[in-house]
Amino acid sequence: MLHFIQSAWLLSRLQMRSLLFSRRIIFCLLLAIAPIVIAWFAGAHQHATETVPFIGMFLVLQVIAPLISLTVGSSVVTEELENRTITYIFTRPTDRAAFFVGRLLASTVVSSILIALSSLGVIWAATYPREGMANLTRVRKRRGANEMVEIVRDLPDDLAVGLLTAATVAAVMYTLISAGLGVFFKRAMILSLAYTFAVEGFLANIPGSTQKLSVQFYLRSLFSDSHEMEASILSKIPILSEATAYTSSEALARLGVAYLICLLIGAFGIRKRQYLMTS
Amino acid sequence: MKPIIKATALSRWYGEVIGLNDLNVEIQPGITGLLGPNGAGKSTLMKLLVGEMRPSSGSLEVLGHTPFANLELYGQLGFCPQQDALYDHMSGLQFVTHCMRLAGHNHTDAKAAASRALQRVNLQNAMNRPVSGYSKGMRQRTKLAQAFAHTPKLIIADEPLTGLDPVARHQVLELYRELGESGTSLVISSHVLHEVQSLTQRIVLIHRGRLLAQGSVEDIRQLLSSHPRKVHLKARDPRALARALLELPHVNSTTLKEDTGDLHVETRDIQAFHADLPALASRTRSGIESLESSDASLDAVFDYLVG
Repeated sequence: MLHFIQSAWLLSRLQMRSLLFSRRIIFCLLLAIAPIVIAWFAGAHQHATETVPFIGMFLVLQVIAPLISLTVGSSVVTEELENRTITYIFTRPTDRAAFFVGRLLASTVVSSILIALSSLGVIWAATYPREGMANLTRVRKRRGANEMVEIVRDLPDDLAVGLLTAATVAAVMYTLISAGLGVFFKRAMILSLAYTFAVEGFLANIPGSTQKLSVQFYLRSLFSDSHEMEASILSKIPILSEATAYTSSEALARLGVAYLICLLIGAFGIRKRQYLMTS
Repeated sequence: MKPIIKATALSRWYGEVIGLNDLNVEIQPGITGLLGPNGAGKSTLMKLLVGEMRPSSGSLEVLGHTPFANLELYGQLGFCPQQDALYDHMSGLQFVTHCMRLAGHNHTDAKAAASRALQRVNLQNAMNRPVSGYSKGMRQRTKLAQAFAHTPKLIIADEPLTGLDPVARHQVLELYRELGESGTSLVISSHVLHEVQSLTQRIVLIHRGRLLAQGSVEDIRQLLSSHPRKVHLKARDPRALARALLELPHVNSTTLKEDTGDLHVETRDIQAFHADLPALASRTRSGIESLESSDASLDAVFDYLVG
């Protein structure tokens, strides 16, 4: 067991170093910055309690978090395979599962940090107090002349925490999904994208209990449970108003079980699978 | 003596392509050369030996173990792969230390053993530099160092001499010899007979995924010299030369290409042919301009044996 942990740690460090100096990380950084920029411009004209739920739900959780996680997660197995350095690991007295767990750990840390920073950036950009006209917005009145009102920059703490929690959980889940697919298939990135944006995108957005088969459903539960949904702008979207079936703790527990199952399948799969490398 | 490798009816297919076909072979401790032309199935056998793949059918034992994902075996095995793949951001020392640590050694022991191994392959001056700056020969020696740093019982090396300059080649061959003398068994694949010949007398010949021959280099040389060999000649007067050559008892046939004037000769005894040719050329004044024996390579033996 000690050797397993040591090997996993060694391989985790190797993966961390490899990720931090890769082109993937530049792509991921650009992705992480995108919602912050959008929140900055949107925040100049809208209340933060409207900007953050919308950007958080539809951009960070549904697009940016999966994209970053899949990009980072798909490198867990495929990078060593493509570089053909996997031979040096698989011909050592090291459990192959340690390879999977170690590299997954490093990838999860990287994707979680990126996505958490992106979420914090969104909150910061939406609530940043601006001077002059940028801090005001024109409100059309039914009668009389339009008037300028000050934008409220405050954001309830639970909404910010909810976004941060949901985004970090999204990073953890999608990194595992991508890494797990990499164990069994060569084109992990393409398959992960197809799963996330086609399969999940479909399941999560049709009414009914099939939503519970998607990670997105639980992320919504985490996010919407964190703040007063009835008062939120998100409550106006029917699909989202149904997503309050689970509390945060229930959603986390279910995702935890799903994570463990996927982790075990990945670890078991890598022990059994053959990886053919052309010379 | 118990064989270190035992393959019984071993086959491996890649879809419809056959990598190995019903291979039966036993390899005894010591140094063994695994020979065969490109595409013969050497690398497939190597990958099966180190447990990168499972056989499609048949059985394989290495040091008494089934190789695939066998951690007990990997503690006694060193593998030098064919592919030129290393972690380029690491130095040679970091890379070999990393491999040693994966084998369960603590950092101090791993680094000391890695340093010794790299010194043994004459990389002491470069071992702290990033691998990305290494020449092909240096990279090959780094791969070799990681294969023997943990003093395994058996080293499997896939085309280990590829890309080495003559000096490095000599050093590596010398190192293999030392390892062999110290009791380490080696299986070295190559498609060049003389490379392996300088290292061991025991060779295993495979071709098209099958065992073609197994034995000493002399046995293989015998096969090489006893089969008809082709010689291509260019001469000012090829007709006269062809007529004279047909009088020699060991010449089977001569073929003259009218358009190019090339003369193709088939002989049963290449040494006698080379001994007789100068006198013959002088007598007929045919003016030999060039001579080429195109099938002196191992491929020719394979073709001959396969028939």
